[in-house]
Amino acid sequence: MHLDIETLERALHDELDPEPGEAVERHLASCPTCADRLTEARRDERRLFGLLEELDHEPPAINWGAVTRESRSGGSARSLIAASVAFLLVASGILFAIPGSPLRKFLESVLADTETVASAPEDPAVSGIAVEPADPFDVRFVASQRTGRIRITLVPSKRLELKVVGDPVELESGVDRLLISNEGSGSSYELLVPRALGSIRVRVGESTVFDKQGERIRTPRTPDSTGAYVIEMTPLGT
Amino acid sequence: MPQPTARESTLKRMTRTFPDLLQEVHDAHYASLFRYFDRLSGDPDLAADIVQEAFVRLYRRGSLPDMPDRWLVTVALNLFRNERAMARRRKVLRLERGGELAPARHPSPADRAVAAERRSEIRAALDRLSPRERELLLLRAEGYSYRDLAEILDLNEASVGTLLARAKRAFQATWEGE
Repeated sequence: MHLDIETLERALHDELDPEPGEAVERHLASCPTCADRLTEARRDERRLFGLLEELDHEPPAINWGAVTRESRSGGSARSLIAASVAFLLVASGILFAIPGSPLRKFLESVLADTETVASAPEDPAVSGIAVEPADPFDVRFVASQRTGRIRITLVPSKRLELKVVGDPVELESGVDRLLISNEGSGSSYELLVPRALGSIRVRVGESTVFDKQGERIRTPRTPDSTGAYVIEMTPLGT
Repeated sequence: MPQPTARESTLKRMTRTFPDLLQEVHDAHYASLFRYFDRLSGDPDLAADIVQEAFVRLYRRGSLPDMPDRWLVTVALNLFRNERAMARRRKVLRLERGGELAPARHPSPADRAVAAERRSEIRAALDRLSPRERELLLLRAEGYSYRDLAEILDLNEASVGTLLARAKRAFQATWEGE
């Protein structure tokens, strides 16, 4: 009984499991036919692979500039959308703040109409952004705040979301970071972090307030009853 | 020279930045990937673009997969199979790079002519294989294990040897004009 093609090929490529491998070696030692087949297969393969080498060209140097530029272009569309949304929010805020502005009058008239119908307190304005984060990922609030807090929750989603509750702030997202220009803001933030994300760091000013490396999480707060980490936006982040 | 332990390797790996790691992956696998797609496509420009695009995807990923070479070749194979989508980018990148690629061997004009004729014959023999046989044979020539071959080409690992033997036999038969 001679070796079948699969076994012979595996013997040629050293792909046999140890136990059958020993049995095959014993067979090859006692069967000149199979030993010759193996020798011939080795010689044919060497010749064939030698032919393939004749097709080869020198590999050109990789264009790292193009690699980095192209890799960022996928994120630039998202950044552009985020920047546009942020711009509209900021512009709306400015228009609203100007005394006598048409937008302010319009909104006040709408609110006046609403007040006659609903007496419940208004919800604060909510804005935000969702990104597909690279790993590692950095979330940076440019400044600490006198008021406001950040609530960080690990979620099964693949998207990282930041909701801004209160005054809109400017958001800028990149492949590996989210920058929040929150100078002078009193807003609070809801940050949903993908649980599967290996490495993420959240900084407020120069202080790191949340650092997740794999399963290890370093933060000044223990999670609340819902599993969220609630951190004040004050200078100490406590 | 003693080899670093697994823990030392892990620690060393943890202290390097992603661009460092990417450079190491490039140094270890780029030439092999280029050679594979050059042989597979018969078009060194296309091969360079596909491999470069695979590195773009890896860079964009932001972290290294467990087996970067397997990941890269799988991504690049998908790109290769979807070659039409690459046509526009190829034109742009070729303009950026400028010039044609020179063959790796046979520097004299006479040698180049002989080699070109022979290359076209080898190419013809290779092109007569089925796409799967060609992909399999060329990956094996780059030293991929049977497990890698099964994963990359979605094959039953238990029959990789048989498929390889069949591909080699088909190539040899065509080459020898049988």
